[in-house]
Amino acid sequence: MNTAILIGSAFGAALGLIHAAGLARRIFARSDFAFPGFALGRIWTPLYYGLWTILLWVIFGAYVLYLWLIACGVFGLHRLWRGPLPAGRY
Amino acid sequence: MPAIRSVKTLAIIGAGAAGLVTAKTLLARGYSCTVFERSQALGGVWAAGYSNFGLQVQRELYEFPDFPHQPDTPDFTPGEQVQQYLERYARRFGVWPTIRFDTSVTNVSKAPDGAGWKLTLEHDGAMRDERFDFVVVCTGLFSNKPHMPSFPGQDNFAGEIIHVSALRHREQLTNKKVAVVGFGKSASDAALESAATATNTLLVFREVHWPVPTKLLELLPFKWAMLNRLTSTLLPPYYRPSMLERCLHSLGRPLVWLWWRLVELLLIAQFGLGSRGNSRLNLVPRQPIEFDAFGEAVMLPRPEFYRSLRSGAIEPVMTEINEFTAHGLVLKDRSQREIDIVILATGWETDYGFFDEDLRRSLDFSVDGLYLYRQMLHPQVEGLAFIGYASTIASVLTYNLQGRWLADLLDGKHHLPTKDLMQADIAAQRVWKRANMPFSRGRAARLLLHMLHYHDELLVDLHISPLRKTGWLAPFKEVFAPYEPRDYRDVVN
Repeated sequence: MNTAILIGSAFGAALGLIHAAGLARRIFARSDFAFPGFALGRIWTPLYYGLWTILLWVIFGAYVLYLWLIACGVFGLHRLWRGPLPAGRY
Repeated sequence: MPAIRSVKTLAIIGAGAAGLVTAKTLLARGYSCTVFERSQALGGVWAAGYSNFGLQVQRELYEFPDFPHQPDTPDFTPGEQVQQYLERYARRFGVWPTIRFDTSVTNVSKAPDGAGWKLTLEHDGAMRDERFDFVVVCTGLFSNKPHMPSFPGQDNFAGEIIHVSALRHREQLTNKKVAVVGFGKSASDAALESAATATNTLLVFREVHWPVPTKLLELLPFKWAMLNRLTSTLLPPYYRPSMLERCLHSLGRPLVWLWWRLVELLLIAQFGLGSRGNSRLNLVPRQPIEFDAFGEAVMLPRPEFYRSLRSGAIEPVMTEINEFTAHGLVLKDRSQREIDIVILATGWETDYGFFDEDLRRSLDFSVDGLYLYRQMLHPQVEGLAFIGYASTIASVLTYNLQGRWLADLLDGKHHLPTKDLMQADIAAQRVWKRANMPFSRGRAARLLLHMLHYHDELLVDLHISPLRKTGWLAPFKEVFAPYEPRDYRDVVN
């Protein structure tokens, strides 16, 4: 169980890092925008939002990973039963 | 756009919420605005609603960000109170004196010298022309002209056929056999009014749609589940998706699919959609919720509506009217029903009859509405904007942001891309909506749960951060907390 959670959290951390980098880059690029959030300056604001992003991904990473695995199984079975989806539809 | 730089006088057509916000925003920037309202009261749809109509959403979602409701205003506010709220807003921000009531705009055409617009106005039976630099159309998605489908044999029908807008009080239905046609919010309201006083109530509809509960599992207000960035990301992707959305809807697609199936299960359980009840009719919709939720009939029904369907107080029949007889209806399933009054809850017509022929051709109306850049401008028609032609969950907020966007554009604080880029954007939007939303006459204006994506776009154009949550927990709130008008207070002030 602990290993499963560890793997899930590591997975979350990896995704979180990528997501955080993208978000921080966008906030940095818009640093001249009027910003009502938790503004800490041009450098620290993107970092702060990025750290939160990583934290949330680490916390929820295990849920996301194992729900995704379950969903792959259920979705696969559903598609076998109902046939392929029309393009662009869920 | 050269026409934009020299704008001084603006005509605003319609004194509903969109017209009031537009006038307030532009007046504050020093523009000369005249609001034309064909009726004798402001408020648009709120000035003349059907019996028992009101807000579908919690009051804080239908609110001007800089003018909150009074503390004693109830949720799902009755129409009359919404009307009073709009009147207070018009007085508070000095819009009232600019409104010309009882004045219809009968024609909008380019001024003869090509600069500005000529409006033909009708007041007290007298016609006159006036000239303006810029026209803002704020008449909304539909006019107040009812959409009345016709049926074979209806001329021989001895009973009454009315549009839902003509249902002014429930006593009209007392001791009558009533058939309500439709399955949207107005149909559900009319059916409930009928169930309270009529002998029996038949609800005739072609298709059922997913209901949105006012509170999920009677606990969590729907805004917490539907109006946050997490849910926004899980929707079928916007036409300009972020990298995260691209990944989630490709590799993560099974997870997204499972999420929406779980939401469907939750709604089936909460509303008892599959339980059939007295009607023996399965009320589980055919279309997946993430598609159906962008249709015309999406609604937050009153809690008693589904209870009445299951108990038989309202008899649901999933079919169509085949023909009228002298005393009732023959339905497509060949059953005959004795009926005294038929209420058509079939929506309203679009009515842009005031545009002249050339203008209508340039605007390129489609069967599913008018596709516009940022839901406001047509690249081929300079000096004309639409505000309020966007259907979202928090529509008043959307009109406020559109008003600010337009005011900044007129002030030269942001600029439009080239006409080719705007056309390309419109084309992409059209392809996306046609693939992801059911057909309706107003599909071009539909955004609904994609509201956040649209608001983000407007704010980025304005060089304002779309991240509106405040406090040291702001990043957490960005993901899970609902977005509401109050989050945009400093944008519209």
